[in-house]
Amino acid sequence: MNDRFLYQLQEMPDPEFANNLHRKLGQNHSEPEQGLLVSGYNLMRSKRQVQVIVFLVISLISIMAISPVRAFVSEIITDIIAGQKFVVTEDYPGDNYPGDEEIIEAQVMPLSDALATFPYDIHLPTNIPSGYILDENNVRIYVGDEAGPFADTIEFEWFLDDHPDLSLRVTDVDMGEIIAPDSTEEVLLDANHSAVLIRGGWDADKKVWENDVTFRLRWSMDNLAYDLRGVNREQLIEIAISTLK
Amino acid sequence: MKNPTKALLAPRSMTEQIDWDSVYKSELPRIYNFFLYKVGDREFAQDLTATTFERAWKLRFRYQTKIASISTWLFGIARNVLKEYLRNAKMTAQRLATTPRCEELLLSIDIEKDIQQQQEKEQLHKILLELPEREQDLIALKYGAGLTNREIAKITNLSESNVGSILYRTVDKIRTRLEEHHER
Repeated sequence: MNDRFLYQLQEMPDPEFANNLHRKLGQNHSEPEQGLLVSGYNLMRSKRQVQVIVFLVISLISIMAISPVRAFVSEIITDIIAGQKFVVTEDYPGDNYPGDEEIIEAQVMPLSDALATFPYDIHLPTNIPSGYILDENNVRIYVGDEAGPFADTIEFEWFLDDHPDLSLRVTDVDMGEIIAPDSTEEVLLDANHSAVLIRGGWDADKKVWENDVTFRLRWSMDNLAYDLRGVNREQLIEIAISTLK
Repeated sequence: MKNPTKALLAPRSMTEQIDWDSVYKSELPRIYNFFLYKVGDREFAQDLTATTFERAWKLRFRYQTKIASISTWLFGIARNVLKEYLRNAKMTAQRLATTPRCEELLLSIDIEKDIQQQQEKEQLHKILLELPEREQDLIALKYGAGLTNREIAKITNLSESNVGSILYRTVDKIRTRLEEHHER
């Protein structure tokens, strides 16, 4: 195959650009930043997700241990739905947490590497609606000491028309979840597995619960918690069923 | 550039010290050319290259040789940077409409041969930018970054034979389009 003509567009980077960038890298990053790992993928969105999760963890711990924090919560009812723990509240204790939060970002790697790294066997859905494409190059994984309270967790994303539209999170960390009143519904996936459908979520900007079009479906299998997020209730249920053994 | 050194591409042990300066020197032209082939614009290519290296330098303490070679790791970041950029800036339409700035390369426009070569380059850039995303990706990785089919397979999660056959068909398609252009 004569393909030499395709190399003709190659060129060396402008030396000034190369030197400036080299200098900048040396100045800005002489010491690796241990505290912040940028995922390289949807940074702002993931930061917000991680912040919300961090708030959730911290607030749950705080509620259990520190009485003043309890005062921030107007109404809390612990509930167990389909075997899963929930804290149901009109308020959101995470937003009142006075301390600093630490952002823990995921490692991002190709699907095969991620599945090899994740310490558990997981069941990926076999019934994904047509048009959805799994982002196989950007599987997000939290493992090891650096993942802190999020270890071990793995996240997948499917794109529809180049937009992230469906995501699945699998974790062995089931620490419960804070939800809005009347936002859940129990769904039977099969004779042995039930799931919880959660409508909407906390809008960190408006500081309100939003029962918008987003749905999440949570279920447990082999001591792992599966959390599927999308916009179509029936679709989520069908996808979840396809993960069952 | 056609056959960049592979010394840095081989997996190293976890304990081996990585010379990041050497990584920068060897990988910068490859990353830059990957972007240049993808977007057909030097300024965009420089911006995207800078973002990739800045991100990689922040993350470098997390790099694990047992998971991927440095090249695979860096190109993973580069492809993410490009995806983000295209998505956030909705650059696709702009990118396709961009006229490659190859005319800047013309130092002696009075030389007919140079002009002809330049026109060929511009036409080639135009054809590349009109390719479907996956084909464009593979061409940029192969001929821009100078990666082997095996390295491309690791980065794209395609099989090596699949990479080879897609590249073969794509090169053929590009050559046909160039010939059609010459005949006009």
